[in-house]
Amino acid sequence: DIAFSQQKVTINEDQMVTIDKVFEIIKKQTDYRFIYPKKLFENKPKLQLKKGIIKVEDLLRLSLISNDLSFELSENNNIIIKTAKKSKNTNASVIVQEIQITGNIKDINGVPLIGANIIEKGTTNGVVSDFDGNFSIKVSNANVTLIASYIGFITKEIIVSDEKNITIILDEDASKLDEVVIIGYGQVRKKDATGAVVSIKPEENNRGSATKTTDLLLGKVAGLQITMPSGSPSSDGTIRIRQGASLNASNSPLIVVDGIAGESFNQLNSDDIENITVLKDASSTAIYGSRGANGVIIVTTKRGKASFDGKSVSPSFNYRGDFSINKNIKTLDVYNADEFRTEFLKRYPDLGSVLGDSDTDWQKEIYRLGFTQKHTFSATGALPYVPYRVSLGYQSDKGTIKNSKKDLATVAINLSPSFLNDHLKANITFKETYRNVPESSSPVESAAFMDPTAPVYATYPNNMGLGYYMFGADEMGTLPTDTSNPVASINLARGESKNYRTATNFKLSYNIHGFEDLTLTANLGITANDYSSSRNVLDNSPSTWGGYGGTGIGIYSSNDSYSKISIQEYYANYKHTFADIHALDVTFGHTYEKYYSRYENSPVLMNDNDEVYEIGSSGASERALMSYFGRANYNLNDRYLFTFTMRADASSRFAPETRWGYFPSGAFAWKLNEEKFLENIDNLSSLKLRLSYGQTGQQDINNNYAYQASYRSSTDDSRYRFGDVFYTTYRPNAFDRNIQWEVTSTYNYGLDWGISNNRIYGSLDIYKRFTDNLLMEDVRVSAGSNFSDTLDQNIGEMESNGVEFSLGAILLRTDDLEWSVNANFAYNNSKIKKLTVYDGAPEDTYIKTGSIGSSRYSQIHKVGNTPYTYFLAKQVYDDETGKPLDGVFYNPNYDASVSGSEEFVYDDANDSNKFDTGKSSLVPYYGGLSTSARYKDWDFGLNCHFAFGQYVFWETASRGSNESLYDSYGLNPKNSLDNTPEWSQEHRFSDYWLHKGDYFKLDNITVGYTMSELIKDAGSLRLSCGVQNVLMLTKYPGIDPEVYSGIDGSSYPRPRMFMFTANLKF
Amino acid sequence: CEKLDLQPISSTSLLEDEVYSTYDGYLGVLAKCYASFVLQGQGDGDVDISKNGGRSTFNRALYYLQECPTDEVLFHSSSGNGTWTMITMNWNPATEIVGNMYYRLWISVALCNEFIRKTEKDVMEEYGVYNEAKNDVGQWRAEARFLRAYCYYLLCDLYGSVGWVDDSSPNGTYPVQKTRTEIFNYVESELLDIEDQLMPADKKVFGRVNQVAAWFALSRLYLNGEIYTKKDYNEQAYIYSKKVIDNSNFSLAPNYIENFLKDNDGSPEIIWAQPHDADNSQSSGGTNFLIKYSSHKFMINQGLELGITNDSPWNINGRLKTNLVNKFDLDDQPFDPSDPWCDNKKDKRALFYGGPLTGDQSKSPVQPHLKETWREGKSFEKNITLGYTFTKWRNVTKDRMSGEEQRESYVSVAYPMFRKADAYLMAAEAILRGGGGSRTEALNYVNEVRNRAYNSGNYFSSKNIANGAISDNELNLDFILDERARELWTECVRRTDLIRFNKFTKGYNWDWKGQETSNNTDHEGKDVDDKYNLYPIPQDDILYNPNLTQNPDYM
Repeated sequence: DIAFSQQKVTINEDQMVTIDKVFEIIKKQTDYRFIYPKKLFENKPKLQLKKGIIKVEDLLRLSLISNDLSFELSENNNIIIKTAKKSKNTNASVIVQEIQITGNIKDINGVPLIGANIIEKGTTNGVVSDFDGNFSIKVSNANVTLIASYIGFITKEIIVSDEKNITIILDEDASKLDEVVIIGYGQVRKKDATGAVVSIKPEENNRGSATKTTDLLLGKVAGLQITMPSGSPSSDGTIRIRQGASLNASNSPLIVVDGIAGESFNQLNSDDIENITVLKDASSTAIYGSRGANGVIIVTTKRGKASFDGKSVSPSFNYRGDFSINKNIKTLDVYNADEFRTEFLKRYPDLGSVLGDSDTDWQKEIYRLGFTQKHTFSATGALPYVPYRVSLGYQSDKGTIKNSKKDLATVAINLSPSFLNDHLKANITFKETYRNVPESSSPVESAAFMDPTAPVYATYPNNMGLGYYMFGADEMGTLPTDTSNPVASINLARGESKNYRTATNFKLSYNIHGFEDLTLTANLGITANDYSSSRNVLDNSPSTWGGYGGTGIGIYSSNDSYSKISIQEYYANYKHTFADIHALDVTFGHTYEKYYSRYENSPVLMNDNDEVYEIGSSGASERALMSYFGRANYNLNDRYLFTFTMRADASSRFAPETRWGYFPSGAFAWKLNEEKFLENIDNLSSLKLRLSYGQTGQQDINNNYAYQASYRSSTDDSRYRFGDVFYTTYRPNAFDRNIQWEVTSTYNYGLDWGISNNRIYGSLDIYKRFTDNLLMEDVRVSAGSNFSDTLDQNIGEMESNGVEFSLGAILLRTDDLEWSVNANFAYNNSKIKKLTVYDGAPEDTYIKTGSIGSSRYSQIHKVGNTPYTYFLAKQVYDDETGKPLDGVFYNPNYDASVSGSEEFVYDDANDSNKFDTGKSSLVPYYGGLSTSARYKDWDFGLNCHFAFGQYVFWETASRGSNESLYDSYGLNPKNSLDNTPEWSQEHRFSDYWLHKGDYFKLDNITVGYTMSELIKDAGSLRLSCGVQNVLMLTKYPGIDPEVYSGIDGSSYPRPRMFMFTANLKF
Repeated sequence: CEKLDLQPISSTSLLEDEVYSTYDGYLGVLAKCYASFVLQGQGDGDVDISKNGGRSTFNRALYYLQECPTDEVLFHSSSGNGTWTMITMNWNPATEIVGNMYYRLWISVALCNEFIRKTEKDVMEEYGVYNEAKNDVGQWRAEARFLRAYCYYLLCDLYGSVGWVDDSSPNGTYPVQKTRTEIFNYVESELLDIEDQLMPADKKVFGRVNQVAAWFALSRLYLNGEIYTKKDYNEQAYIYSKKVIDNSNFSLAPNYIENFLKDNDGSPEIIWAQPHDADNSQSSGGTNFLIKYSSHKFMINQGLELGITNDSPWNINGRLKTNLVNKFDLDDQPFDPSDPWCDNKKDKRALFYGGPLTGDQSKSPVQPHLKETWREGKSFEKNITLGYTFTKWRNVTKDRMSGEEQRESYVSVAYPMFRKADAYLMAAEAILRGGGGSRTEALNYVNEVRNRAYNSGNYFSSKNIANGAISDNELNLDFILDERARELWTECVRRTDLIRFNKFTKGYNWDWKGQETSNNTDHEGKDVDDKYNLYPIPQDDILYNPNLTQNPDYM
């Protein structure tokens, strides 16, 4: 029966099941029914099933073979189970078995594989391993070849020569093609996925640093760009999938943790993550409708062990400790005191008196060796019917800048009980996070710019300045002109911010009795985030002599904010295969989500008398999203796969008449390797073509009430006086009743392939994306038409296209040695097509962006250009020396054939003096490389990522060139980056500061050693050490070109980290 | 879908129903129409014009346009928004600072339109406040129409042919362009129409306008009418300025400086005052700007009392051009540290600050001030020693109470939008331009202003040093132009005055005018293109309102 031999079933998770249960699984996914005597399988050993796909035939054989049973297929798809004929003699096909071989089968971690299949090659003679992975097989002669197979592992042939006792180690199938990947509201076999979906298991990736969760994804997925967080302990990275589809609305992908959308990555302990799935194309993300436009990242956290028959399973424990010493590796190259004095006096010969006689390296003063430690302890097991996992984490991260610090504590509890013979399953997750960050100033730039002739410390009468030097003050401490002593601002910072977050998620799914094809699921989640911060400026600290009345009296204040997200989801899933070849998987459901947030900023009060220095403020806001969605997966003959999705979303941000957005998608995939015409190609393990088209929406703007007529009342300090009375004023807020969904349409063409038993595998995706009705916040509106000059509106169109390529290979694989490499590469190009509400606007229409201070913009969004194109003045260089000329720029409108001057002298305010550089901060080419190797108990890993084609504006240098040796008001000498020209005037918009941002980074190298069987055959200890931020290759002259915005204003430099990790399992 | 009909819940957010259900709610919206001329927004960082903070406040935005490109003031700092462009007079449609005033005016127009729509009888009846407000609503509407008309007047003066929209179209309607003459005619008809609906001329409420303000606005409109329409309106200018002069509810303050001090809410001269208050109406524009941007903490620490805390000043970014200082007698020009209130000057309006700073300068880079804003052979410098700054505006009461305890972070000095002294000079000018009246009358008007400036004649006091009155043979139009500078400097009329005298672009040049760069060592002014008589419509509005066409030569 051909159909029977092709029929396969999916095992959704690793589980230990009875043979009755195996039959149930088969029944549910196929049309087969079983006929066998009741109690036939009573007291028979259970079977360990690995997550994955298996042929029904194999599964049956696996289940029955050790029980001396056989089966046959009768009419009407009935499978009849019979006792195998016991008499060897009567069975002609059975070869006489004389030699007994015993053995043990396990995975590379030494975990026994229970229920693995061991067959004598060329025969039907086979056995199944027991609970301990032991097996015993009788074979015909001593020189026999055994075939060992196990779901999710690569089948292995073992030549047995005169050995009676063998150990077989199976390798997991690295290609993961049989793996089940999580998609929105469901899951699908990777090889049946129709969309651009990538799945990552952090456990399997060698992790350099686990201090930041985003590190897990860095350089791992084609088209997923992570801009690494800065060196600040409290900083998190920026994540973009295919650069994001929006111009101004959020470009962040949707993050779904355990089914709850809109979560945050950085609040998770990386050790709690089981799996991360990245959905890139519209057909995969459309089920998330309005929030899928920028891609979706689905995170599944770890769960407890399966509990069988209501028995408890003793827990296994895992402790992981990460320690690192962090060192700052680069500072800005500025004048030392002597050079500074010389340059300063050259320029201001009369002003020598303002200089001090110290020699201070301010940058040295602010850095230290940082130290990070992270401890995670987890227990995984099962109580009767209730598998559980409990994890506790603590992280203390002391940054390389003095006093910068983060303390993070996490608790994650997961319970996944099942009832009613596994028909009713619950999954309950609690995730608690507590984070504490002390107040920190950002002294990186001020330390670079501080006058090096000034001392760090100075003593003034009455403890003024608390012992710190104040620039411009006389011996009496009076009249400081600049009190921004970076060391003082670090050391005297008082205050902290605390964040307590709790996420609870309750999921219940019911597989209907008697109608097992249908599963109903309810998922309820609440996430609450409590944030509070306090700040206190000490009396007499330098800043009190510059600000707050210059009286030496400090201030204090506090801020509190709270946000809550509640989500309800209800969906039904129906799975059935008709007539063997039509597999249908349909999901439909409803969700409602509500977001609430409020904040309260206390008044800023004076330390001495609690007098209000600045009044407080508060606010609150809500929004909600309601959706209906449906998806049908149709699999024809296991070759042709179709997915149709439809989602209807209604956002409270839009008016009732524009509120509903409808987001359809469709996808087709063709498993070419199943076709006859490719059957004879050796080595081709898989080949799948994917085509998809879909629409997704976007509504993520800050203003929750953009369509509503509302008023804002004035605060007490902004009232208006009529006669003798101050009246609170009411201003109508600008609104646009017509504001509506931004819609992104994506075409995706993909190819997945694997050869040599999927030892070499890869994917190629090509996409084209159009975004209409771009939502733009605060965009200029026709003056006089509304109550502000700007409005949140739908103004434009954007087009992108891109290519993504990934390749993986297991280069070597033997029992002792394995070496694999992975590479990915992506190209993306976006162009703005329109930026106005109406059609026919001038071609060179642009909107300023890339703020570099009050009313200063260095970038534009321009029609026909890549977003974030730099808009700068074009520097003129000296022909002979090649040096830039002071204050001389090309006239951007210069046309040699007409009149007009070629050069002009610059005024930074004039847009007409700037030109469209055609260079953008968006990264067009991005990729990652990683390799890992294992030799016996040793493992080795190395990760890299790179980007090129983007540009970086070195803003720090633009403000720190020699012209600013003496600052704007002639009061504060400022140090200068001494590799900048001797300019006498501001050149902040010169394209001289625009640099290529290409880089290649070797992110980490790790070496580990695992000791197994620590305590009586159990337990393992892995020790590893490594280096993070090993190497950066770049021509960029600043500290680090990896700046998401493209404007390098000297953020906290990323340190080099020397790491040590111990991971104990018992 | 109730679950999706969410409404603002913030305590500072209100729905229309909540605002308009009370009498005070209506008054609060009217107050906003006024406050748009004073404050940047609703407080707590809110700004009506989203991109420009304090620079978008009405008077500060106007100041950049009316004072910078004239013979009066100078800015040293280029803060990325175009102040240098103003100084050198080469702005363009993208210059940020040109757009600030434009957007501020249009927001005020939109706010007034909304208030007028909401004060329709049927609307008020629906909200249930008509009966309570019916005796006042007529005046309220007239006030909003006055404010709107004044905005259109300024749009007409600064930008020429602009868009137009009134309360008859709903919010969201794009303005349609009208010619400069049409805008002028609209302003005229509105002011004439509401003249009798405003608060009567014999009443006044601080912070609000009455009938006299409408007369004053009409005087200013008519005096410049020929520029806008090519038609002579001097007769009307004379009639309306005389109405202002003849109104006894307003009279010149006995001392010039009293109009610019903390207690100027008591000045009898100010017809339309824009209130500022250190506690209740904090603004980064208006008088707060004028006092802070022209001062430095050294000035306060060395004994000059400005009534602000010594961390408040903005480091003397604003200076006066020598062209203005030189319009005063040479003796009156320098600053005398022993006479900080300028009592010993002949003309009490010469309120300049310069000359040597006292005190310990061993650790300070501050050197004695020069009158000039440039140093020979040096470029335009960001150096506080260059140029005179001024002390016309002070957050101190007229009894000169001072001392640390009186200093404030924000100021409480009202900004005089319309001041009676200006009406005297307008009337005199209208007469000389043939608008009626007699030359003697004109001379009397001018001398009224000058005698007050010198504390002579009717305004004689112990501070008198010299007689301010001029003789008939000194009186001519050019004298009036200079006199307007002496009387009204930093009061946002200079550009309009120079244009009316045809001296803005050509024929009269001042420091830095027409230079290609502010960095040029050559500070001598030169003629500029006549297109600069009008500001361009901001490039953004040309882009976002397809109904508009740019002013000539800016395209």
